[in-house]
Amino acid sequence: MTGNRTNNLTVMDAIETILVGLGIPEDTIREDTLIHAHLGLDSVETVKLSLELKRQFDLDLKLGTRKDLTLAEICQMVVAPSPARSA
Amino acid sequence: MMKSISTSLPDIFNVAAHFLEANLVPERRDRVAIYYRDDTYTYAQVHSWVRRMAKFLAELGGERERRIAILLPDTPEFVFAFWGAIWLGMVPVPINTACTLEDVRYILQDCRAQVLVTDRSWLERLGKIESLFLQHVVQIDGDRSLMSLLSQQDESILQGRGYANDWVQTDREEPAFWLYTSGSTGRPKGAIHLHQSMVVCAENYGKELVGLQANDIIYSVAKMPFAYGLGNTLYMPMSVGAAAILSDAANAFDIITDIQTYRPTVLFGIPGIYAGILSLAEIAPLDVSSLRLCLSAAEQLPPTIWSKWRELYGLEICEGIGTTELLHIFLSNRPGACRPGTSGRPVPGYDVRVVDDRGCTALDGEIGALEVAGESLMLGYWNRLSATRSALYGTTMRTGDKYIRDADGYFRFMGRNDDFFKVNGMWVSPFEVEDVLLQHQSILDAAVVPNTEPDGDLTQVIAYVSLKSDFAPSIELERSIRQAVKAQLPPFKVPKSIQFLDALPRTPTGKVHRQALLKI
Repeated sequence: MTGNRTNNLTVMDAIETILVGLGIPEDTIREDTLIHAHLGLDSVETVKLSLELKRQFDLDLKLGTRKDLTLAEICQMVVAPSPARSA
Repeated sequence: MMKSISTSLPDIFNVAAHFLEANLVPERRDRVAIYYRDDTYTYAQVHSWVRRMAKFLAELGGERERRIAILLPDTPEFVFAFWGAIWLGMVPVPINTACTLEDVRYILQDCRAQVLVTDRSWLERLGKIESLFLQHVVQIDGDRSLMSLLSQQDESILQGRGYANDWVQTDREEPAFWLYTSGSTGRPKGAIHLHQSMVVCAENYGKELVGLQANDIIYSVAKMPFAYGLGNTLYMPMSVGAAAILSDAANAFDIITDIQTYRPTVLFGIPGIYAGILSLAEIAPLDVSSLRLCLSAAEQLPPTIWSKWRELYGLEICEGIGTTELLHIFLSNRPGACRPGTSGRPVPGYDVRVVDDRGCTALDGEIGALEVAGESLMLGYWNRLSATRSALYGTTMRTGDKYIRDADGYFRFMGRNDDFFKVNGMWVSPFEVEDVLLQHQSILDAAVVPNTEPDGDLTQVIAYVSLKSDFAPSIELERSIRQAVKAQLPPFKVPKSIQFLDALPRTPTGKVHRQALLKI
């Protein structure tokens, strides 16, 4: 558990750094922040976020707007990838 | 001598009736016209819904020649409202849902819309609408949906109202619809287009140059309120009896999903989306097996993207350029004869010239101003006489672009006459971004220019600033400035990088020397 929490914090920090790099204010970045509904990322920003998640965590995440994700959900995918994805 | 398409049309001509009735022939009426989510609409169904819409608007009190604003995402209701209004002789004005609230309010006022067709979320955002002219707001997702109201309308709409025909007897040269363009003078301008204009573009570009066919399924990244999207999705498919996909796609991932779901044969893209899809090749691979043709417009397509697309997917991208004022594309690369890095050659029906300072045709290889003559040219900008006069003469438009024509007749973009530029196909005014930058407490002076990477990357917004004496450059300060800009402007206008200078270079007359900044 402790390990996961530490991982979660590290991953959350990394995501925050990516988002701040895109010009998103720190105070809008929380675990329950939805990347499309709350942050309103445009296509270029979404692609950049996805590429960074791939580079840093080897996570293949499709960030379509029809299924919005919270930052916590993205962290979870990094920390505990689904069996299908890691297979 | 160029073939005239407009004069081949009858004087009494309603473009909605023209396109819709042509698709009622037995071999077309039951073919799919529209894909929308899990639904499809055949041409016979579209014809029926459009006539119901016309009747609905007539009963509402919608009057001939008055404007009806359509503020909707790409949906069947958009299509029915657009054609239904024209059927009735009203003048639809699509409003881009990516506009700021301020611009939407301005357009509703400026066009004096009698009717607004929109949805709940926009009505909540708009609040009380100040307009002396607006009489009816039609909410498509109200207590009773617009589609359910239309389903109760009967179709025999205008008989008994003093009309000889089912549709209103408009003239081919009378205004049919308006499109707003963000231009050089801040506020959007309404470009007035005629009934004949869509036929001109469909014949010249859609049929002759692109070769659209009845069995095509067409997907456009640009939405219908853009001139490019309107042609791609609304009237060009209809001109050949093909199918169009209406989508709410908002980023490259959505588009990749849509292409997998609907399996289009023709993709009308924009450079930013081609670049985005390419960079996601490992994360979200694109299935191109259905595509026979890829096209691009709205801004210059870097040759590196053209080559990578060709390499990865085996498809060329036919790049072209158009303007809202000429309704659609007038310069384009042809399938099988693409020259990457150019806007191609003139589309049939258009006289495209590069002219020197005296208005004479420039020699091949010499830079000059791009002027385009064609039958799809707008009537003018609504209530903007001086802007109209400076943009148009005769059937010619001065586009404001600088071009070179090469010896083979291909045209190459060389920049703008003014300081405006396009990012993701949308105009960026450096002055607007500079105004926002100057509101930041640290900034003394600011200049915004486009930056095109030497390796041929896409255009990005770059800001050069000088700081007040009690501030020093830092990463934190750059971040704070970008956040402040992002709070006020849409993402595509936010500088991707901010460069700190001791002082900005200025011309002898005191203006920012943008050319010097472009060379930094």
